[in-house]
Amino acid sequence: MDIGDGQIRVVLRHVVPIEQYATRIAEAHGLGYGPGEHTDILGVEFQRQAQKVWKETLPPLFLRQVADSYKRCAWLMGSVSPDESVVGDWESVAKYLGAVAAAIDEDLDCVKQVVPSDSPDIGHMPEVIHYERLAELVRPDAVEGLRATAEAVARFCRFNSSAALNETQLACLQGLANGEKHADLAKRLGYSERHLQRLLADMWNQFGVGNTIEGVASAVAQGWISVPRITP
Amino acid sequence: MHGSLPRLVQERQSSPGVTACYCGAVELSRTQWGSVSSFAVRVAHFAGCVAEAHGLGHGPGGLRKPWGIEFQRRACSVYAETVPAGYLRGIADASGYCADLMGVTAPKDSVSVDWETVSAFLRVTSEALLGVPEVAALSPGEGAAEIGSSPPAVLRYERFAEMLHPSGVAKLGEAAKAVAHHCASRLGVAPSAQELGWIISVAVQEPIEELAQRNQTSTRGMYRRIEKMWERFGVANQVQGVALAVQRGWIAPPPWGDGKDRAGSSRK
Repeated sequence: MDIGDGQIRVVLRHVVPIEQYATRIAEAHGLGYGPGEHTDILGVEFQRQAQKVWKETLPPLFLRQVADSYKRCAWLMGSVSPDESVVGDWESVAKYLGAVAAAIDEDLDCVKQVVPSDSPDIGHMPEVIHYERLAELVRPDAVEGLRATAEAVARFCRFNSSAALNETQLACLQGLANGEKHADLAKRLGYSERHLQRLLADMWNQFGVGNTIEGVASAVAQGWISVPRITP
Repeated sequence: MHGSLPRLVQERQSSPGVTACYCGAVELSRTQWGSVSSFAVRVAHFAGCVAEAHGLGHGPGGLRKPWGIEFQRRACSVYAETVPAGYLRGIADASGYCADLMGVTAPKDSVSVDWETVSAFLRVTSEALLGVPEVAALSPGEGAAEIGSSPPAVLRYERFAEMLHPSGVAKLGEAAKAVAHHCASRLGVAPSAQELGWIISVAVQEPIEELAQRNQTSTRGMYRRIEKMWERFGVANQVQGVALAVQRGWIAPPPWGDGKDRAGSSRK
């Protein structure tokens, strides 16, 4: 099954915090904590110990929501086929999410929590977690491996999250975000100005916005394009 | 990302003229504005993490002034639990220097209270840390090279949440954001409150005549002011200017329906 834009966004919401999580553990290693002995950070054995650390500062209901959200994402990742280039990292992230959820599910305090049915996905990684304790459990190379894996999946998601837009649309949007005038943009892309206006009008219709200012701002807000670094 | 603390320590060592006394009229250099901005962002991050801990059910405590010495004295023992003394020495030196910088300039009235709040937070952080024997025993700048650009995640934010009242944390966070925005505005990399209003007007395509009337200028004068603002931000036109405003969080992203309440996270 191919991956849709909505599914990619769900995965992205989960992998970005995993990158942060790994970075914070690495920071604790850098401050002199640990290192621990665990090498299999994706395995449930490490997650059982990590769960005890999370529980020190995170309430059971929050952890229950994390488990549910991670399970949904792991299932989603298992039911779609990404590019071959990222399949190994994709499976590793799915395994990690599943192991985290399994470790939380073994905790009775968390299992008995009743989560509202409309509870949103939790991809957020709070800073109150005792990262130094996690650093004492795990080896730095394992943490770096998790970070690199999450980063690879995030990169794949970012690259593909604009799949709803074609190359021409992206080129138009980026040109406008670069400050190009319509006439210059049309010339560069080999179109007449009238054709460019039609393309843009269709795109604003697709976005549900009324004009170029709002359209380009929407694309920036979605992360599809960015205004280049500007030095006044 | 933000300016690094080691740079602040170097600045302090090469700026013997900056003292803690309040002179009120000294203009900071571009680098010094950047330093204050960096620290304000760190303070806002700190407040955000404590607020998050409150949200997760930790505390709340009763202290309403995170910028008071009472909180900082208690906080020092928590800092010292997880953060090495060398790192804390770097924080003490850099916070003190930044508070000195903030003391020698007079910000505009709209941000003066926030300025004093952040300055007091940095001053008492420095004083309290230098009251810790292990920190005081180190030379200035020792260990500063290890310091990153944001507070370390190993800080026990839940313990701070147990000491502090949410209202104080919110006030500190808002003050720090206002100071960071003021610094960015002084550096010419963020809009003033008035300019923010112009950007919103452009975004929602308010007729320029109405905007000009509100600003008591001619249509031509209004065009010139907006043009000058885009020039200052280094953007070529209004499409790029509004996109930049969304990207930097100065204004909320679209959809823009009714022309009201579009300011982003930055306080006016």
